[in-house]
Amino acid sequence: MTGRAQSRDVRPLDEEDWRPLAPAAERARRIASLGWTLVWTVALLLVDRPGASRLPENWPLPPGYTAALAGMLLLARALVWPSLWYRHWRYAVRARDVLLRFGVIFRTIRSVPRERVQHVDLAQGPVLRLFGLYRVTLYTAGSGGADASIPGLEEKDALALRDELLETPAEDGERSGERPHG
Amino acid sequence: MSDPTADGGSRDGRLHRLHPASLLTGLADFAARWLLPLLLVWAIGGRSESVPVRLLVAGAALSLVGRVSTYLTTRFGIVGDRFVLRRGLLFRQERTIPLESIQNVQIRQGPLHRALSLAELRIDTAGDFAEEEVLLSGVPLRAAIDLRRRLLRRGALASEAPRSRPVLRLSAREILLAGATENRVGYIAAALAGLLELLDDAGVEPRDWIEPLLARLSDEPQRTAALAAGLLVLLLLAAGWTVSVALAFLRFHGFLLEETPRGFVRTSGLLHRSWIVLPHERVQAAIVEANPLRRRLGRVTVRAVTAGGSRDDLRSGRTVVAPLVPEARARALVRALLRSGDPPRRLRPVHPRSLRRGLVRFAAAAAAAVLALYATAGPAASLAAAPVLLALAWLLARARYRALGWALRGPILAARAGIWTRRTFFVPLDRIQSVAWRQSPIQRVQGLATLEIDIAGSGPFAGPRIVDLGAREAVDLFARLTGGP
Repeated sequence: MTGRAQSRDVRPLDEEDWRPLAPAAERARRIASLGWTLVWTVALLLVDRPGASRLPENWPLPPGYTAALAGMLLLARALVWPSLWYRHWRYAVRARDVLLRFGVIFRTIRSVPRERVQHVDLAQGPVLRLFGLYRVTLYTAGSGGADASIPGLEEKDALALRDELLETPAEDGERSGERPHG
Repeated sequence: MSDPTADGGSRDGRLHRLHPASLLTGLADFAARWLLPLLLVWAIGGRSESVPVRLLVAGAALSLVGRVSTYLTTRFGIVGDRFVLRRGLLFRQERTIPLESIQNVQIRQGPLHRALSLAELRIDTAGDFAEEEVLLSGVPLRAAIDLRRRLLRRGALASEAPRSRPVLRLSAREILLAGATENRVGYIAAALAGLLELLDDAGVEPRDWIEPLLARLSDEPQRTAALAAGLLVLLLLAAGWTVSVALAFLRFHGFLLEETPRGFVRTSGLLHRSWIVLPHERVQAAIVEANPLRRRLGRVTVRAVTAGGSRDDLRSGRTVVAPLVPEARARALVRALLRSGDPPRRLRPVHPRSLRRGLVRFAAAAAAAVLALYATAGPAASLAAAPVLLALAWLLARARYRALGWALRGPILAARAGIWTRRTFFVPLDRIQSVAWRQSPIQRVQGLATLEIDIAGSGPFAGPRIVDLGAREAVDLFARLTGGP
């Protein structure tokens, strides 16, 4: 945290070596996002059909325009957002805890102590399966535990992370959380 | 009264049945739940062939069959180091719970239970799911206490334990004060809304008789209506106050908090008597809370946040340990609950820029309200309302800032927030499950951040948080809570 004392954008543990998600996670996210865009646009078009809109009489836009506009906004979001999302997602495994850092607009850094991890889930939806990726979720006894979830890791990384977390933490000496060069 | 499950019965591993009189309490409970709605529907609807009525009757019949079959088929007892419960007529169910995974055992008595010396026994396991609990309704009280002792096995926790020490009793005057310093006007409003809905369904239009009444009272209907509305608000407040006093007596009559070597036992209730056990190892945090009225009187409520499925006091996992005590006593109670040293006495304010953030937030809401007024009521009304709303925004921002505070002293973290009900969490550091540092866009601009502390047993959005720390302070505290040796 040296040299940033003046900055208002101070974030914990800037010097940690953060790991990114698997590069394919961005594409997976985009495809999922495009899929939802399609679903929502079709649903909106059913309500706001160019021929027979079911929106109120005094709606300011002509029939079909609202759905088209919303569809385009969703499309833009699906194209742009995943890159930003991917760029802001990082995680770090330290001696005592796992750090998750994410969020583009609302930023979060969560620390899950390794000794608090009750169990670890690996999960795949259809899109993640397409890319051979896994979502790794860490559960604690706390109520916000489901928040601690890493949304896109390659199989070997996901399995390694799970095994690492389920090992009993090293009792003595080894404290890799302290950076030797930091 | 015959007492088939009393002492010694289950030591040989034999399973027990519920007490025959429990059929009676089951039927009474059935009547309380179903008869009144049925009667109401018949009295108002009158058309017994309509679908909702039929559904209601079918539901009632199913519930009745269920209750009788529960009584007939329930078998329970301790076999070896497990608790076994068998029940079910069509869908047989056998639940086995290892004694070591039992978190807590609670005993309750309703009015009829008390008349028959029966009790309801509930077994909480570590899971947070309601289905995983065991509820035995209709065990003789003595047998229930004995069963609890054997289920918890780790020494006597029941209130008759020799080393139990009364910590807090409430006199009628204090219970009255507890009820009088809150107002459950929300309950009344909800009940009133329900009643209007019911009347509407029955084809009675309240307007039809309110308007002629107003007209008869005065020839200036508008002014009378305003007067009537004011009177109604007063009546609602009075009714809400009455209800909260009555509820306070129902919940806290005979309140007694005792400390035993293993934890606390809370006895309370006028009609429904409950014995709530709070083992020390289950207490995750303590909450001290008070609304403005109570703050003025120097009185606060103390709650314990517990892990596991305790669903008392309507809010899950937040058992009231002291309904209303002077602040000085609350401190001692928190200390006794957490057993990890002195809780911080003075809290530090959060970053001064937090006041500005609050102002931005409330001023934005005020601006939205002014715009809405402009659209509906025109420029004159919105111009008149704007200064009032802005002043209100400033007052709210100031109240919000004053409420925020935190402290870390030794092994206990304290975090306070709440404009109306001010709530201070005291969390022992070794109970923290995870810590999150969060920053919204406005906080980023202002150099602020929020720390959220996750503990077991607090709801997903109701846990302790330190709002609007200065960015550097937040980083340091985050590091202390997570990375420290």
